[in-house]
Amino acid sequence: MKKAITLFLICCTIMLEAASLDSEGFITDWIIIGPYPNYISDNNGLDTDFLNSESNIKPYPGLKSKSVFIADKTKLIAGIGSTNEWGFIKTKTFNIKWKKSHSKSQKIILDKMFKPIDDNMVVYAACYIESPSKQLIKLRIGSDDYLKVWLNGKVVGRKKKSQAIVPDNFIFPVILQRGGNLLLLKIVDRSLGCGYCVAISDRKNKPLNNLKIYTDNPARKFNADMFNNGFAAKFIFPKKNIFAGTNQLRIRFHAPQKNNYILKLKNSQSKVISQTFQVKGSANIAANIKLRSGKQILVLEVWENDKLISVLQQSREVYSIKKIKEDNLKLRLKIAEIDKKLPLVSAKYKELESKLEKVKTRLKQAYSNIEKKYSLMHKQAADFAKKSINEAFPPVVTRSRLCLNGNWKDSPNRKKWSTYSLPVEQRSKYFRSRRYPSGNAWFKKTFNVKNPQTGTFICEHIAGAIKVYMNGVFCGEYIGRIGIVEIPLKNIKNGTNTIELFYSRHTPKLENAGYGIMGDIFIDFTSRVRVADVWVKTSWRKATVSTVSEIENRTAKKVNVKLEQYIVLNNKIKLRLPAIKTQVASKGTIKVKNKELWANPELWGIGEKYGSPIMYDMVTNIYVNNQLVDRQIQTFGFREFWINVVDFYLNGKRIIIQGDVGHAKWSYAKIRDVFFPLYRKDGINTLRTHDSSYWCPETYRACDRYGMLSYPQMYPILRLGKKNIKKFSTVEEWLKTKTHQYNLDNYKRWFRMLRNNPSVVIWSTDNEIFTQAWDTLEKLKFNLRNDKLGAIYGKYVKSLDNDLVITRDGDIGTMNSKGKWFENPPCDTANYHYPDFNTTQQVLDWQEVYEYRPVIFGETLYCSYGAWDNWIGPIPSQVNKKAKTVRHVASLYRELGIPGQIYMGLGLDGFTRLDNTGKGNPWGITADMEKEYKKTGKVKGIAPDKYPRFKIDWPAKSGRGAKPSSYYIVQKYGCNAINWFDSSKPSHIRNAVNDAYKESLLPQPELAKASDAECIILVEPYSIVWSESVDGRRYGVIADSKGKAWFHLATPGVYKFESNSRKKTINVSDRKNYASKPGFNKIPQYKL
Amino acid sequence: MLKIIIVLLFGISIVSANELDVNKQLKKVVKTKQEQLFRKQKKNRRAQKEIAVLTKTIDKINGIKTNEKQTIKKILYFNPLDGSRKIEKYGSSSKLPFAKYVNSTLLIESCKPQTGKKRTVCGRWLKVPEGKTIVFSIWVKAENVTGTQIKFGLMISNGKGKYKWPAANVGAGSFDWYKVSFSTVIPFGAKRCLLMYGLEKGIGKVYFKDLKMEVID
Repeated sequence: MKKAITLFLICCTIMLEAASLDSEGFITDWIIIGPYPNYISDNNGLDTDFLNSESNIKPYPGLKSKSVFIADKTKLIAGIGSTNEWGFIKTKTFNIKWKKSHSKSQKIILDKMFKPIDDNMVVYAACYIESPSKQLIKLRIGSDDYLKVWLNGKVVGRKKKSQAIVPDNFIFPVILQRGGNLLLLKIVDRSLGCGYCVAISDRKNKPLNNLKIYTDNPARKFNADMFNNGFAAKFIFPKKNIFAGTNQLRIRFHAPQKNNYILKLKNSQSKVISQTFQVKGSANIAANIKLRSGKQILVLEVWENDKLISVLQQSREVYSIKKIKEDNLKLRLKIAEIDKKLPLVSAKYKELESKLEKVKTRLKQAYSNIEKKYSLMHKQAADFAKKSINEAFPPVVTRSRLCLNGNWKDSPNRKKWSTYSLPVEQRSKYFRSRRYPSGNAWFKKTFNVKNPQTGTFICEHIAGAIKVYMNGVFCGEYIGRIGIVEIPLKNIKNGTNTIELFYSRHTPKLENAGYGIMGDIFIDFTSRVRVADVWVKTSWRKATVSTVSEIENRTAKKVNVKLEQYIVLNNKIKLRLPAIKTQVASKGTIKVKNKELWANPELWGIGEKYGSPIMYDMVTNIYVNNQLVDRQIQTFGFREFWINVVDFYLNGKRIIIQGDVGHAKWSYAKIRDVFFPLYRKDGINTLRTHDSSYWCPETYRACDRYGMLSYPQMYPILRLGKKNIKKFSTVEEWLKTKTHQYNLDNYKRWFRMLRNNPSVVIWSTDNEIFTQAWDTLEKLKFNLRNDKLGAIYGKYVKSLDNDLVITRDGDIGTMNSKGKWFENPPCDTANYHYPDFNTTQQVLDWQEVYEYRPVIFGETLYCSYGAWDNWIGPIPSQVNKKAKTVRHVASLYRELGIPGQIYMGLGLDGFTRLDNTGKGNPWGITADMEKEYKKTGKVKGIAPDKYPRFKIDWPAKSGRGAKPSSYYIVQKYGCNAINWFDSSKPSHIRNAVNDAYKESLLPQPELAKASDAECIILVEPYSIVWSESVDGRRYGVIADSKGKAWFHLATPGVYKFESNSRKKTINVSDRKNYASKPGFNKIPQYKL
Repeated sequence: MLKIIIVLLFGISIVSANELDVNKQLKKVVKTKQEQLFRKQKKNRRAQKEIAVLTKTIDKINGIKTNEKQTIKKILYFNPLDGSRKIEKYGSSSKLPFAKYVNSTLLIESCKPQTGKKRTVCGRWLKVPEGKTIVFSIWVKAENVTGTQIKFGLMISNGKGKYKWPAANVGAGSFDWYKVSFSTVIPFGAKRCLLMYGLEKGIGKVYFKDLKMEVID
């Protein structure tokens, strides 16, 4: 009796444990385990078996597992602009187990269930379904995101798609067997929400109400694995493998009651395969059964009073010795067949390899032929051209330039004034640095000038709005973000003058915020009839030099002018262009075109076969009534850069662009002096100036002098206010806005600023409008619209000079999105960022991928020590890993002849290593010191002004360039570990990444030595010091508070210096012996 | 006697187990060798592709017009999809409620995802010349297509049960008109192919026009 009660209670327990489907057929009771990792890098979680055997797992609540989240630091920060998957720095192991879950909702939401893991994870869910009969059903599933489904160990569905949970999204017709069925789900979450829902219906889509759902296998309690209707059983064979024929079978049978049952054992074909057994309640029975080979279902039928009351079944693989033998024979034949094929395939490869070698030789020949063809083209043109002459260049002074950099008075309201230094350092919107000035500000400065005719305010970079006043009279205004600002001055007097600037960083309806007065400030004193601008363009293939000169007449009368132009090098006239007579209306400006053939100019180049960085002067003289009234000197280099099919050519020679995404503060001249030679030693021949922070024309002038190619980038404004990906103006609407015109004005100034710089070879008109990282389906419409606008701006810049080589950064990235990029006609140069993440599709066969245009990988090999949200630092292991990756990727690019490779790069990953040896950077900063600083805000033994910001001991606070008080050292990147200011320490320390670049890139010609000159003249504080070169250039600097006037001079040589009636002639030597050394102690100083 | 039978059974079971082990080992060997063969074949395909791309590059550098431009295409089938013909259907479905002509273009629209074997696609069986390279092209425009890639592709059988599913990568989302195309070599044994274009199981609107099938001579 007691036993009966016990059995009854067990039975009841089983019954109570069972749940049923809800009214719409949804399963709400599950056992769940997770999370397991789905790495972004391979996204292979769906097909990774985390359960040891997904098809054989028999899950139950409490079953334990371990999940390991490997932190491969290289992979963690490899994502473009994204964090690592889970924010772990070290590998983490979680001890997890299957847990029961009951949901009140039809949707099972897995969000926040496995914190801290919430994305990029894999979760399993399972339940046992008891069916009263064999029936055809539909599994109706919705999943967020990927899904895999097993029924009784067999995969019945797989979807590798990302979506929200949509009921009935995926429907899989399956067969439920009578009795217990195990349903196992695998859900892979990529990002955002995660969950699933499962409903079961019959084939006519009606919910089923005859199913029982269990979160544990009811048979497990009885040490069995099959169950049905309260009965359970387990089939036990003596050996793991079962062969066809007679086999011994033991059955552990469990019955809920101690009644009399008849057990019949049947096979798949419902044939009885052993004697029947008569048992009373639970029993262990043994039988010899005959089995056929193949997948066999063993069925144990339970009969009571001639009524079938339970079916317990299991599928088993039965082997046949005969079939295995046959199979083995087939396999042996197959092996023989493959063995036969292998040498043939190898032989074919040898044949292809030899063919490939021949094709590569032909390619080399084709390159050689095309260079010969270009050479011939040049020769044919040069045969008819003028040869260089060597005439004396007569010096004459017609204009002077005064540098107003240094201390200014500043005030928010023009009432209370304090002292502030202008220009401010170049700033970046992109890198979210501090903003200056906050809101509006007034600046003023007083200077003395003798008998000025007319003056022009010049500032080489202002981002924001500015109004200029001279002695209280408004002269003009400017609103923009790039380009040289030129405003004619009114009311200049003989003697003391005060210039006032009203700066506003707000430019309503155009741009939200500017970043201040960042460029050198000058006043040009000239005649009233003046040369306002000269654009010099050269063609090596056509052997021509052509100019477009702007002549301005600020007088009240129309004037007849004669324009005379010649090219000068080292104070000798090398070529004369035809003289032109013309007329300029009062207050008018005209453009005059001029052109001459030139047979033998010295070519500007990066060294060796390309030519040397030789800069000519284009001298433009303006005569009025046969009297020379103005002489303007424009430097230029004679070179031509163009595209042929998939390659770039500089002066007729094919060139591979090996560039770096420059992140150093290039607006400081000394950084350029120190860094450029280091770049070149490791194979870098091009500086890509990334985003807005380095729009300093001096950077490109330095590139000209050193023979470093440059690749400037501009970015249009594409929206105003907050980004709203759902509501934005259409392309047509945008083209009618003021901001569109503002963009065009900025592009025009950008072009005007850089068109005479021979180093500028590639013009990038935007950056990552579409990117691999941020492009999503939701943003598609907005991105497409932006991309279309970007293409319009690209075409606009091309229209300014059809010979420019234009690229749009990352534009080919649109190929990866769910649409199509808009380039009509396509941009000159394809551009793809981070192809190293997908070399098969984006790097191999690059010629075909990029439609037989040249391609620039505008950013590649993402910086490895710290991204936006993750900071690992240049720890030695990370530096070594990066070096390995550089060797692999850069060597591949070199082997494939990728025409444009811009690494992200040497300036970030080279020159730094953070460890405790103290030998990872010039200042001996160690990892422990950094930890100490983070903890206490100081480091023992290091003065507070030496770390983390190093106080710069400027030799003078006058002359060109911004002069910030300190510089951030060591920290994340290589460009912070370059020492350009401290003469007591080495300029740099190389790391493994430096070596990797050097060994993997094509070696480059040595960088030219600094060819310019500098000196400091000591006078009374705030005095103006004027210099005059032997060719008549007059340039003035206002001395700083210590009476130091810092002169940066284009060429070395003899200069006359003058201040407060004191004069001195000084032979200023060049800087080549010390320019690349850190510090300022070698600058010559002269007392006047 | 019983002992002999037991010994025999035991012996048979050992032999069987050995054969099974051999089977498992042979399968492993086949797998390894097949992978080795596949790797080598892949290497060959890579080399072939590199040769083709470099040859075309050389031709372009040398100013030789490439085969692609010189190829003569012959139109085998053209449907402007402008309303001048009946909407193309295939299979047993007689109704195509999701497709209609709008402004001389074919609009395929779906508001809810299709389930089971249902697909929101039009298409037809076309006769194809075996062994030839065929270029299929169509103009396409999309509005808010989600849950799927837009379908423009084929199903071809070589008649021996092997199927090929070449298709263009049309994308999804929203975009303006552009021409998509793909080419495929018709396998020997294939007589006809099933050309399909539409939304598959996704939702949104997709417009098509100027469907073309050309053979490269």
